[in-house]
Amino acid sequence: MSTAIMAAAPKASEKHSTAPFDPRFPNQNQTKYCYQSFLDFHRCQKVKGTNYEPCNYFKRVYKSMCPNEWVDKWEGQLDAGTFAGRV
Amino acid sequence: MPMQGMSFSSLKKHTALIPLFVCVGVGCVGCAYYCLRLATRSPEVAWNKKGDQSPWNYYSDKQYKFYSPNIDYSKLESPAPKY
Repeated sequence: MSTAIMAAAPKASEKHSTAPFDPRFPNQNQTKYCYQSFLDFHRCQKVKGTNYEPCNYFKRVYKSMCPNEWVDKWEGQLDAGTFAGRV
Repeated sequence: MPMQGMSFSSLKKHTALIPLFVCVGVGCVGCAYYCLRLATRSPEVAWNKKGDQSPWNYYSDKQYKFYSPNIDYSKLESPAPKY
């Protein structure tokens, strides 16, 4: 690796940070963090509208915490009106 | 005659039983406390069917664990924005 690429590396790693530690979900199993963030994102959008930037925090969290399969399934259920959570 | 050691007067004659009663007593109290804590304070348990169904949100700025070896988060707050 050339020095120029190595110097640029820290910036790139900042961009790809994962979800931060949350005291509500201190265990190794992060399933609830995923689900709660997915719920929070859609509740937040319902309350504040789709252009409210802080809502996207929840989207970033569930994008890194949830298996993509689950997100696809839940979004399909949301569209079909069969999602089990209270949004 | 009742079993020796079951009353204070006979326990004085059988002092070797005192540690047994202390250990069993501490065990029972600890068990009762821990079970009650699990039932009432656990982030997994909601008794009220009509109330908040996500009891873990209560712990957004608290620590449920007695001891957390890698990160003490009793003073940390959840980074999630409020909306």
